[in-house]
Amino acid sequence: MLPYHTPRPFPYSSSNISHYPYMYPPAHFYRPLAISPFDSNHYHNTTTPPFYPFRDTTDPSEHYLSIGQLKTAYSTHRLSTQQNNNLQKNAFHTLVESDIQEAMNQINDEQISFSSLFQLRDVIRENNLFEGLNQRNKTALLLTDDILSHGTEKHTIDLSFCDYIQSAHTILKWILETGSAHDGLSSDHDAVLDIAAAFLVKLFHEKSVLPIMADMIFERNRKGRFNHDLVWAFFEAKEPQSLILIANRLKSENQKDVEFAHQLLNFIPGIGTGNMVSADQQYSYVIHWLQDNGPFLHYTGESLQQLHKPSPYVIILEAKYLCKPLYANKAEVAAPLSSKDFQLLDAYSKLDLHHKILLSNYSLSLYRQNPTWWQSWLQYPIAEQIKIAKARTGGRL
Amino acid sequence: MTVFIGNRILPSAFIDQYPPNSTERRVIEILSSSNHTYRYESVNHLKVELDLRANIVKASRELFYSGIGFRTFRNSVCNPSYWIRNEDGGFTSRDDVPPSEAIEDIYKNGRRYGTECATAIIILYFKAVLNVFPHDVFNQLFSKIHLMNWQQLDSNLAIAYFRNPTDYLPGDCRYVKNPDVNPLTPEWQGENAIDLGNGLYYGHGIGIKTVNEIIAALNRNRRPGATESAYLMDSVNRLGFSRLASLYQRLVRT
Repeated sequence: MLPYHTPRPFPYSSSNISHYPYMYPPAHFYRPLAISPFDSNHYHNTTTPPFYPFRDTTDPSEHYLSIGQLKTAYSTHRLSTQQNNNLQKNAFHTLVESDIQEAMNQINDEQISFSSLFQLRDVIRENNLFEGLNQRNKTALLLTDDILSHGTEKHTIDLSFCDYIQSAHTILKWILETGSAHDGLSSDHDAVLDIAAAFLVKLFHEKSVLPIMADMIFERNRKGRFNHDLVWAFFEAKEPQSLILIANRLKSENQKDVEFAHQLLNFIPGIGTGNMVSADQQYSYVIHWLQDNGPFLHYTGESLQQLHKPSPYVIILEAKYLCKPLYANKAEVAAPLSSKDFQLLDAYSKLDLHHKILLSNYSLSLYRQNPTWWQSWLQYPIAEQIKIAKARTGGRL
Repeated sequence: MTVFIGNRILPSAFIDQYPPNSTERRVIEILSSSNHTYRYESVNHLKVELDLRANIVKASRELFYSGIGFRTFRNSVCNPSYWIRNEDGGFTSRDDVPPSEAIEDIYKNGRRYGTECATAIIILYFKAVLNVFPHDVFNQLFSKIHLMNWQQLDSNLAIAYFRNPTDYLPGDCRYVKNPDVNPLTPEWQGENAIDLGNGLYYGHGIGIKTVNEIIAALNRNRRPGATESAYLMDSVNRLGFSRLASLYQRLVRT
């Protein structure tokens, strides 16, 4: 059993229930609350609308924006449709000999891909063309040499430190974004993409490249190419919402995508190839699970180097119980903790895992339903909290 | 706490059959003094586990001295007479050679091989099983071997991961994590290391060292300006001793 997990009621087939003895197919994902949360002997099948304590008298346009169209970060064919200017090595070599200026114009073109530049490294070196390159190309080639030499080569950069930091970020993005269309070109080329991704995610906390990385991860998995460094870099973003990019693959027509998505998402209770529910249901389940638990997920750092099915995220139950989101990928909450909070946590700490999960799940559910009722519930002794939670949920997690 | 064999307590004299300072003796001492109650189906099940753990420790040392090199998956190498190198950098045993010989070749010709630390663990696990099981049974159980860190694991190895176990035993595979690793060298993100039972660990690429020495090696491979040290995690990967013991009972001790 995973530590700190909150199994959500899941549309299991009955044949799989034995693996999760505490979970049963529910009629609803959450049982609707009674009118009074204190009346543990009554249960009413009514739902109450969301509770807002303040009347909103401002102009709605100050808070809402309709953008008309919505784009998606998910694309199964992104890598094959990128349009870049690709220079062929032989053609460029011929051009260097016949019209050097035109050769330099082409290689310094804004639309050139990193992959083209990568393929022309030898020609550039043999013909001493480095100084004629623009700053982007120079920096990209120096980064490439650095990566492939594992940092053993030292270079002098013709930029201030501050300018170099900023240009390095931009150029690393260019390397990954234009190079991804030619992923598989060679092992060295792909290694540069992997490290560029790792730098962007770990050092620059760049999240816009995560969709590209997800595409590459699954494309490589289909073709049996090495992707573990890329998977590691992807999770090092410590961005729970990025799990949606993996969950999308649960609905893929390619069985390898589905199996790999199952492996990467196996830490979410209920996600696995053994379940007989549809791909759409599994996807919806992941989305709901993220909505519930996203603010309380803590990155563990587990990776494919460490075990077969890593659990990159765990739910911090104490944060969920107090409904206080975690902050900055740490196992600590952003909001201050009052003396009452510490009292609650002290009593909470004495519970077994089953009751901790029960209270955390119920607490969040009640908080979202009605924060005032939630505050009242928290005032009860913890034994009474458990009694109420069990009455509302049937004791089920 | 107590070690149970079926419904009976393990006799205290059981330990006497193992030499002092042996791996088997160390394991029994830990099990017997644990807060956790351990239960074995039969005394033979316990003996097979002890035998396997002792051979994991032995195979670790032998792999260290085999000359096998540390290489990232992109640059991995193997002896093509016995193994096929796959596009992802892993190895698959050739169909025309017995898997037992393919594993033995890694130990005989270690210098012809280079891979990462997790794959080395799988290699020594196979070697440990090969040392305990007759070769013909081994080849029957593992007709095709894939070596690619913790992926494509054979179900008969039954490797499982445990977080926060009650005890750590010789033959367990621990993990030292390096959270501030330099992105330039992701292979240094951590080190899989076999507990040798005497305060030393075998980690491929680092060698036979104490935990602090492994941590120091990983710390030398962090990003410039790193502040967070590598650390030993409270978790283990373990060979499926119970499964292998059952297979041994069924296929060898008939």
